[in-house]
Amino acid sequence: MTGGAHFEIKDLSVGYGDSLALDRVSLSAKGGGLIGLIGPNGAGKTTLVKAMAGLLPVSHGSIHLDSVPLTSWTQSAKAKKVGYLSQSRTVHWPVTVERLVSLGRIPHRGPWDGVSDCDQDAINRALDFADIDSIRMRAVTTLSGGELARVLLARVLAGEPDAVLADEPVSGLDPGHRLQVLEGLKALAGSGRMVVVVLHDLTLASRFCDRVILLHEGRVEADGTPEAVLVPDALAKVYGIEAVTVSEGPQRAILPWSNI
Amino acid sequence: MNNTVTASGEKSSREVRQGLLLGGLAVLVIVLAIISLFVGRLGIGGVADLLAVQGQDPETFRILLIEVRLPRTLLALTVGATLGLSGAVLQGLLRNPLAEPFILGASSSAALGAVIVFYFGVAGGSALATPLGGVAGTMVATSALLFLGGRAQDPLTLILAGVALNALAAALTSLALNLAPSPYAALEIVFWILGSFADRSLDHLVLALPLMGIGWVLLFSTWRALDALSLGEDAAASLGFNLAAIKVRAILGCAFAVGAAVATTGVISFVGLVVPHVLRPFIGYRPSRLLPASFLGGAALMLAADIGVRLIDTQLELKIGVLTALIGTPFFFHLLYVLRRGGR
Repeated sequence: MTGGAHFEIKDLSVGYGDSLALDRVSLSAKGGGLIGLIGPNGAGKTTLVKAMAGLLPVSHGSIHLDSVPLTSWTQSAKAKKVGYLSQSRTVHWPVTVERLVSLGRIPHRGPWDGVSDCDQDAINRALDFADIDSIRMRAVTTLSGGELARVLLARVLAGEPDAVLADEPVSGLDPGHRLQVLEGLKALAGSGRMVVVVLHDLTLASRFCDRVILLHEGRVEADGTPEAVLVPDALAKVYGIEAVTVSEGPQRAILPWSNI
Repeated sequence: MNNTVTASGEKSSREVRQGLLLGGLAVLVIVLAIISLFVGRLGIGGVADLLAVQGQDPETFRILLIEVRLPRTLLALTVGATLGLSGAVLQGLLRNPLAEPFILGASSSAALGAVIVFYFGVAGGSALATPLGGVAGTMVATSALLFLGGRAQDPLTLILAGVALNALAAALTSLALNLAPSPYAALEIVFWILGSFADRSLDHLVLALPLMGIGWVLLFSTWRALDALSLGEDAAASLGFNLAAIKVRAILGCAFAVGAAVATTGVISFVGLVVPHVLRPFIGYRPSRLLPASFLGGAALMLAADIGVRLIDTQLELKIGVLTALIGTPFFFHLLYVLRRGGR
């Protein structure tokens, strides 16, 4: 495994036209624990991970990666350092699973290089991680939604980036694969990488995340351990819901119960 | 482990098949180019006839081969390669299997650029003016196209943008035709609408080839990004590609290659649609690998079609643009039908 990455975000504002999707967000994120980004639709979660991946122009404030402004990173160095999993699951051509996963190695290969043994090892590890080794020669257009989600995650992991920004990596997955993917991402974070996942499932956030950042209307509403952030008052304010918390020992399930 | 071994075996046999495909296409292009040199309509039907002319009248033989047949053959080869390559790049860039220079309005706009240059008499000033008019026309059309529908998820939105550009180019070309000062001028304008390799000289080729060459280099330079774009623009950008620069290279590449080709031979439709579509399954649907295959495939198809129009017995020679439109339109309908059913 490789070293981590350290993001330092100060007063970050990102807008689309006249409206601000992120409004003066400040936070610091580094490896060592799984970071969950949660919040209602339109809270700014996707905007934040896209800005961290350097995919959006910043209206105000700054993002530093390993103490260097993100805008000063070369595109190839940034691509090696930061892996970004988009919310979109559209793949435009029926390439094989293995070919698609191998695209994750592009930042590590020169323009005329083939797939080296080192690349192939990384691809195999990613296929194993996502439990898709058995379908490696299938066309991606023949996969179920859950299989495709795992293939796209494997594509990001094949690049072995120090930072992984995953926008809703488990939406559309069955419960078994949700647990499997989040266990894997938690293990990655445990190995020192910086892993940020956008999640909608509060129980999964509570179960797997070491830190939860709750976004609301483009601002950080709360930031801390799941126990500190996922509390009834915050959920009522941000989601407008009443949630039922079921605890058994250290295990906690948070069930959205009714709208307020 | 077994899976890995099987997969690497399948992968290497796939690489061999793809290498054979490119080699086979290259041989096909050479064979068709040689046949093209020896096929004609004016009483010279085959190698024996041509060699007989050589024995009796070496000067006629030289004129026939070097000044009549050779430019036609080389133009068919290079224009076909241009159309195949630009179709493959546009389809990869826009992730749209219906994209190609004609459908997206780039070819008609190139023709319009050439017609404008001709109509206002600029071509009299410099021989390069007509191909450059084509380049300018394509550049305007491709830029407008990316602005109008470049990020559209639905493939048909982009096609609608192409319909609008085609309508505009057709309206302005018709206006020029309507106001043409003489029947000669009208005939010249019709040439760009119909598309043909007939009566083109080495001078035409010499003017167009460097511009097409610049276009080819720019188009081929997008190859690596096209693979990453299979995942969409955000994922491709996160893999380190500067998409703005890639788009500029594709626009300029299409402008130079298609603009110069159309200004020289007129609009030849659907080659850029058919060739990448037919070859795509043989190269494992990889957009980057499709570029050399479509380059060679376009050249082969165009040479074969141009041999065809010379062999088909019609009173006047069938224009090649008319033939490709007749064959390409049903193919386009078929692709539309497949797309509507959710296929690729």
